[in-house]
Amino acid sequence: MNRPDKQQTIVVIDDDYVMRLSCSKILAKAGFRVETFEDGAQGLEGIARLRPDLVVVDLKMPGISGMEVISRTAQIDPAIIIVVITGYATISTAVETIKSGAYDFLPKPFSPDELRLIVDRGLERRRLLQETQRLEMERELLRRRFVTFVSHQLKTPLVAIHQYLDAMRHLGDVRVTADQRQEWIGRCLERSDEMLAIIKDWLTLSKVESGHLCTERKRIDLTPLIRDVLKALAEVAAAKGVHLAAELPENTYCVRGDRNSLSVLFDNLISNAIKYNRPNGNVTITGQVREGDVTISVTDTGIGIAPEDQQRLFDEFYRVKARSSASTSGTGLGLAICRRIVSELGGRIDVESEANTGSTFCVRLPACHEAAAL
Amino acid sequence: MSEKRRILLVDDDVDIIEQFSFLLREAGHDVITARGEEEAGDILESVKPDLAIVDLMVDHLDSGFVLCRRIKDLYPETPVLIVTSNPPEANIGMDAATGEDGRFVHDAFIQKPVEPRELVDAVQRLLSS
Ligand SMILES: Nc1ncnc2c1ncn2[C@@H]1O[C@H](COP(=O)(O)OP(=O)(O)OP(=O)(O)O)[C@@H](O)[C@H]1O
Ligand SMILES: [Mg+2]
Repeated sequence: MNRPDKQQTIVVIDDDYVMRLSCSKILAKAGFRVETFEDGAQGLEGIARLRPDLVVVDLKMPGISGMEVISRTAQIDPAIIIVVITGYATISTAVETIKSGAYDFLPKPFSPDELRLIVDRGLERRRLLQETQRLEMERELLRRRFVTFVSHQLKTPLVAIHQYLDAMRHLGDVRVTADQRQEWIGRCLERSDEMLAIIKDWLTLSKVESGHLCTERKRIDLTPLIRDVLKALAEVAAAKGVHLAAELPENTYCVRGDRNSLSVLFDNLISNAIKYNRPNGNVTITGQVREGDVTISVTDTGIGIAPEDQQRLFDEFYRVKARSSASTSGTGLGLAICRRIVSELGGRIDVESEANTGSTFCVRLPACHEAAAL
Repeated sequence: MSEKRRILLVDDDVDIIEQFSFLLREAGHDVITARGEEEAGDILESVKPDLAIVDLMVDHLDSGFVLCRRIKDLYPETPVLIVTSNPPEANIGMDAATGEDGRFVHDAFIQKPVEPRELVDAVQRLLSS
C-alpha cells in the first residue's frame, strides 16, 4: 500500500474508555496520528478543528448519536471517510449508516487486523476520491483556458483587419499612398480568408467529435484514395518545388472507414509534408501490413520538429513557433483533426522527426480482410 | 519632437507589426521589430530601447510576461507597454504583472484593436514620463 508522506490523522469517537484506548493503540502503532473523544459533541468539535482523513465512530453513544456525527461530518468535509463501529450490527442499521454517508462499518468485537484493514481501505478510497477531484479540477481549468484560447485565435485575424481599416480611415491619402492602400487591402483579404479557414477547420473538428464525419464503415482501398489526394495536391507541391512519390500497390492497404474522413486525414498529412518542406525536398508515402494493421507513413525531408514540440503537435491550435516556419500560415487544427479521425477509426497516429532533417507521420489502422465487394 | 526615440515592438502577428510600426514611424519614432520572445531577446543583447511594446500571447501563453521581466531586468528604466486582444482578466499570468517580488514588469496596458491616435498617444505618454 502506498502511504502518503504526510502522517494521516484519525479521530476516534467512543464513549467506552477501553475501546478508545485499544483503537488508539492499534492505529498509532500503524503510523497514524490518533485523537480520541468521548462523546459526539467533543468529537465534532475535534473533527472541525483537526480535519482528519478518517473518523472511527461508535454508533450508540449518550448525547449526540453516531448517526448524527456521520451527517454533520459530511457537512464539515464530505471527503472525510467515516467508519462506524457498532455492537448490534443488524443489516438495517448498517444500510442506514452507509446511506447517511459512512464508508463502512465494523461490528464489535473486532480484531486489530480487522480495524487496520478497514482503515486502510477507507484511506485508499479517500485517495482515489481526491485524485478524481484533482483531475476534474485540471480538466475544468483546461476548459476555461480553452475558451480564452479559441477566442484569441478567432480574434487575431479580425484585430489585424480592424487595424488596417482604422488606419486607412484615419490617415488621409497623403499619409497612406495608393500603393500602400492596395497592399493593405490585400492583407485584409488574406486575413479574412484565414478566419474562414479557422472556422472551416473548427467545424470539421467538431463534426468528427460529434461523430458526424466518420459516418460510414466501408471497405476502402487506401491506394486510390491517396493517389487522388496526391493529384489534388500536385500543383501546390510543384509551386514549392517539392517532389511527391508513392509506392503503394493496389488492394493491399485496405481499411474499414469513411472515404470522406480518410481523404481529410491524408490531405492534412501530405499538405503538411509539402508545406513544411524545402525547395527540392521530397515527400514519400509508403505502406506496410503487419499484425492485422495497415500502416501508412508520410515521410518528408523538411524542416523537422524539435522533440519538445512533438508531443504538442496534435493539440488544437498548436503551431511550432520556430523562425523557419513562422512565415507559413495555418490554423494549427490540421493535426488535431487527424488525431480525432484516426482514433474514431480505431487506429493511432505517431510522429518521428529530427529537426532540420525531416519528419515521418505514421497512421496505423486496423486492416480490413474482407474481399472487395463485387 | 527632439531626438528620435527607439521602440522595440514584439508581436507574433506580421500585420500588427506592419500597422504599429507604420503608425509609430509616422509619428517620428525609430522602430525595431521582433516576431517572438527569442528574437526580442537577441535584439535586447545589443540594443537598449527607450520603450518596449509587447504582445502578451507571443510564443506561449505567459511568455509575454517573461519577456517583460527580462526587459525590466536588463533595462529597469525602459517603460513596457503591454498590448493584448484579451481583456486583462483573461490573461493567464496577468497577476504576475507585478511579479512575486512586487516589482512592476509593465507600465501600461492597452487592448487591441487600438485606434491609431490612442496608440501614438500612449507611446508618447510613456516616453515623456
Ligand atoms: N511534416 C511536418 N514537418 C514539420 N513540421 C510540421 C509538419 N507537420 C506539422 N508540423 C508542425 O505542426 C504544426 C501543426 O500542424 P497542423 O497541420 O495541425 O497545423 P497547420 O499546418 O499549422 O495548420 P492547418 O493544417 O490547419 O492549415 C504546424 O504548424 C507545424 O509547425
Ligand atoms: Mg496542417
